[in-house]
Amino acid sequence: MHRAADAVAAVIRAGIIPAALEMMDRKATAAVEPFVRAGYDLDAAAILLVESDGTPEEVADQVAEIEQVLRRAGAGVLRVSSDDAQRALWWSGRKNAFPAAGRISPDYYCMDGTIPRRHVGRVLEAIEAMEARYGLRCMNVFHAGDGNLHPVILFDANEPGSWERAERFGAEILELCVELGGTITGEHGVGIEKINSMCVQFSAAERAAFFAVKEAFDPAGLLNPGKLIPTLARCAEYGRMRVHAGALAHPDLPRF
Amino acid sequence: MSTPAAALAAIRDRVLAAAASGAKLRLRGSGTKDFLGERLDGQVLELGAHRGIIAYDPSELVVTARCGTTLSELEAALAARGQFLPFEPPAFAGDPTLGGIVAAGLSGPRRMYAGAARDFVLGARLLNADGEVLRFGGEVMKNVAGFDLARLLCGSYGILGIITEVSLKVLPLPRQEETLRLELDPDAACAAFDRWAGQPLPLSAAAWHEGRAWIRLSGAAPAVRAARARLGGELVPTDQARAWWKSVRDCHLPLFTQARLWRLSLPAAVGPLALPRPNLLDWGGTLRWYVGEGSVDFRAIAAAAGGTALRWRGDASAERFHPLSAASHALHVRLKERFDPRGIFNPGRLVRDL
Repeated sequence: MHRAADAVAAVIRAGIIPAALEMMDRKATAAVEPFVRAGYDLDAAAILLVESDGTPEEVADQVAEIEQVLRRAGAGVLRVSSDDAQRALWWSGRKNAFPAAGRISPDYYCMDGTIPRRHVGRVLEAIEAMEARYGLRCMNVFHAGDGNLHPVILFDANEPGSWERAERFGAEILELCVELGGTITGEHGVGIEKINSMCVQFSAAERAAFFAVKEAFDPAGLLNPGKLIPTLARCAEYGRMRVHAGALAHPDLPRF
Repeated sequence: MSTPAAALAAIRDRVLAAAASGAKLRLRGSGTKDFLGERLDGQVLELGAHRGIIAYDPSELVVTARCGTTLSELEAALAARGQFLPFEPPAFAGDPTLGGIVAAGLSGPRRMYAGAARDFVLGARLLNADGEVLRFGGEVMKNVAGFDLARLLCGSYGILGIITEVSLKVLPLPRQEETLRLELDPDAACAAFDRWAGQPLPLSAAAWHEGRAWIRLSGAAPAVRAARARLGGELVPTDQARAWWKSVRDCHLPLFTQARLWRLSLPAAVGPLALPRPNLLDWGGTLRWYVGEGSVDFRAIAAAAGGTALRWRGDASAERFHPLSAASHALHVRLKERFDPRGIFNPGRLVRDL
């Protein structure tokens, strides 16, 4: 896993910016493969999908270079798509990772944290430790080139306390992203659902600046009140609720 | 030699003292853009001592540095690792600081093809009127948590507070770079730039000056080679090409000493304007420079075409920047009031009454 993460950094360091650079861990490929039959190597701890675009000459040059970098980085199996159909099939596995999660688990919760690329390996290890702690599985599918993680936490909402654990698990991943210099959301944004994690990423003064901008554009406060920026009171409440390094004291109690 | 923490503390002290006394502060890095702005007002607060690169890891494609770090220092550090700032910030007549580069938000010839300064600002720290340091954005490529205030600061000319630190996205230097020169009149050059912009060509700059179009191609060697064969023209020797693009970026052509000079920023593919021929085209024809003549109303003509006109030199009675619409002006006023209620920072620099 660490080597896959290092391979991503090695590609960038070589001065190559592929059109797409995606990573799936073994849990993700195992979930997708029976469903999509993309031909993924199920023995690999992780697979990388790297796409190159441009003129035919450019692509040929870049693919050769990427192959070299990945081989040096310790890739077990290297395959280059031979036609468009094969390319589309390999991508369909990646694109169907979320529906595939729905096949192997009654419910799933998808996160969207971003971290500096150098910490990818470390975060994936931390997530593994959290899986044991929260008693939930988590598969990883992500935009490795951008350090944008999409941990998919698997749970069963019918099981009492399961959703609360999934939510805490997700919040802990996001807190780790912030701690490592990243962010709680790379592309999906904050509405209501991740609003508490905003308290972790931004100080009271920073949140006040967001409200200042909100007021400048919407002086009467008509538009989507209560979304995106948490109030001081909400963050104080969330601060009291947060319990470090583990689940809540009474996970069986419903919380509102 | 003061430490960064001491330099920052000294800056904060000046801000707090100004807040207490009602003084105004004029923020200054290297002063390369002193000529740009509505007016310079307030006691000079030098920011150049808060300098230095804080973090740079080439495999992250990000550099984080303090506001006083100079462009030449940044460029040298990046070049040593085969990378660069794709938005090509202009240096003008000196060596600008990172804080000033972001506060002015100006970009060079590559802007049309690689993106503007704003697109490369991933994060920034702002020292506000209460002396607090706020952190917006971050050091990661993708980040949509909260409002994108790091990018609001880009082009704010320091009126919202002091940009103390910035994280910029950087890119690997192009493998191959070549410049072609073609004899064309300015309308034909614009038409060609528009046509090429819609084709898979590795363009990184397209300018026109004194009867000749200059085209820069950057990218993988086979792509540059194929594009060169297709576009034709004369290949400009590397050193000469570098010097030319630098003189366009930094406004060092003789044109820039004219007594009256206007800079029009226009939408793509806007076609010829009801004006005499331009003196310089950049950004594939969307940036046009004109020597002022008689009573030609550059503002009205730019606005009618959906663009803006910046008064670069001369015509001093006109505002420097293109006037804001009433709605946009009201937004500027409300943002300024909330970020800097006592009006400490760079009064009148961006908007005359702010």
